[in-house]
Amino acid sequence: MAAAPDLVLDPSLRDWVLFPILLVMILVGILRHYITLLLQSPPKQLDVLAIREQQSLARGASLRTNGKLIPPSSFQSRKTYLIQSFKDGIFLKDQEAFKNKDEPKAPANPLAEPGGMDQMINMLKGNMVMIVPQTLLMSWINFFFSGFILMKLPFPLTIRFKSILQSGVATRDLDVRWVSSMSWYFLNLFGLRSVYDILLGSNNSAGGGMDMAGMNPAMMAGGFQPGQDIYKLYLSEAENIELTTHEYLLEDIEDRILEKYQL
Amino acid sequence: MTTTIDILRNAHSTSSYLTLPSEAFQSLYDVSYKFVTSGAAARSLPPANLYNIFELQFFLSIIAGKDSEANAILATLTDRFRQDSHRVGVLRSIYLEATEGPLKALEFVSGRPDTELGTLKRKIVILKSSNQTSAYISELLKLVDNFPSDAESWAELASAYAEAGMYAQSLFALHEVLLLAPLAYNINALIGETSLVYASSLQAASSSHSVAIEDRLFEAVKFFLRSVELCEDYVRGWAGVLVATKRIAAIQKPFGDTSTYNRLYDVARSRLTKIVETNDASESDLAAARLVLKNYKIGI
Repeated sequence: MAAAPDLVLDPSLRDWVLFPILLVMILVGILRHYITLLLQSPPKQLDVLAIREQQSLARGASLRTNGKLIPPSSFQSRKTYLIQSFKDGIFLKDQEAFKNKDEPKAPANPLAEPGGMDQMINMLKGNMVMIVPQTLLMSWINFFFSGFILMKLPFPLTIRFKSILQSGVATRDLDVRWVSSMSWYFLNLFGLRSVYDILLGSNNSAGGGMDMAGMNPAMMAGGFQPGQDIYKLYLSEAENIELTTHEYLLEDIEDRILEKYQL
Repeated sequence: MTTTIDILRNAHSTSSYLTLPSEAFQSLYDVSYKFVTSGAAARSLPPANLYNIFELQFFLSIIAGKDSEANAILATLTDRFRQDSHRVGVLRSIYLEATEGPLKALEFVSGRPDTELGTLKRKIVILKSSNQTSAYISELLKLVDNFPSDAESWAELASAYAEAGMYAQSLFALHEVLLLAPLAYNINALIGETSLVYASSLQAASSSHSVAIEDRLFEAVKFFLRSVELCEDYVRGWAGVLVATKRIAAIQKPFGDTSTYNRLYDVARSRLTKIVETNDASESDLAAARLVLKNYKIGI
């Protein structure tokens, strides 16, 4: 029995399907990059009281870690002051709410805070920019080129790659090296990142939300999660400060220096 | 090899142009001017660096007194980042202060949102330069209350208090800086110096010596020692040790045991002498070291 004749591909498949899909995907990626840039809202400025609320907490932490550098009296006065202010909540931005804190209140809803809402909308925007063109592209390929075989890889592969390389083609015995149109789309979708990096520079958003870090930078940068009870953080910080003992680092510095520069 | 871009970036990030001697400043200005106006080299830079260099050129033009050039650069930056960018706001207030006087600048700065640290600092600087001391200090207090983790504001507050002769408050602010920047040897030396001056002011107020004065001097020694522990050849620190130990010895003469401070004095003296002999410091530091060695000579 003669060997089965190799599949012969029409060169116009290459010219009119393979390259167009690649080109369209690159262009869509670039378009997506610029749309994301346009949709980006500028980082929102915190108001002064919110900044104060966050930085005061940091002040407690720096007293705990670096307090050993300042004289005992100086440390003590700061310790007393910070513990008292944390407990009295004088750094809180919402004094009214703090005074009424004994009233039972529902657990804070992240959507109720303006900051939380903005974050949600930003995430939504990012996802829309990613999902809409993908849906369009996929249905375009499905509609016009479904079941097309586009190219043959120049190297052998094991049978496991069949589902990756030949999605949309229901032929069990076809050699794994043949690549279908739908698979070509997926290969481009995941493989074009480095091309975008060359075209648009690194840190582009053409690849959409492929990586988690790019998806939601606001969440990483912001100090507090929305809906967190800051007063509780203050109380625990006050407790931490209370537990800190002061070991003055400069107590015996004269001896240290003399020992180092033994005359 | 350092390229033009490296020189400019370095000048921008360290603000070295503020203290350059005039010829060096002129050459930096020429380099920067050529770079900004040529445009060809500029296009190869990532935008963040490029606009930093624009900012540098703005500062250089202001210092050199070339207002129209500064205005052109400010216009470019405003076109790119719009009026509401806080860095552009800072530059505009600097430009206004240079051309139309502090009042106009103050008016402009007051119209900006009160969450911009840079603009708030500008306001304080303008108040300071127009001699409104009480407004200046109260604005500073407001600033450190709202932004307690900004070391620069605390340091400014410390110098404001020191100028007003309120040394205890000044020391408090400096301790706060130290909490935020634990390894700042210059701040340690500054605390030492402030303690010394504090001791002198106490001494001037009451003729007899008191425990408080001694405590201030002991503390001064500790902080000077800390600064040289962090930075071994720090002329300012060693000079401080020398002066402070000398003064302790002078006060304590009829009393107790000064041998530790005697030995510290000797160590400081030998370190300073060595630094002067090996020329291992900047010209001004060496001059200061020689002066201290000469004036605080006498055996204890």
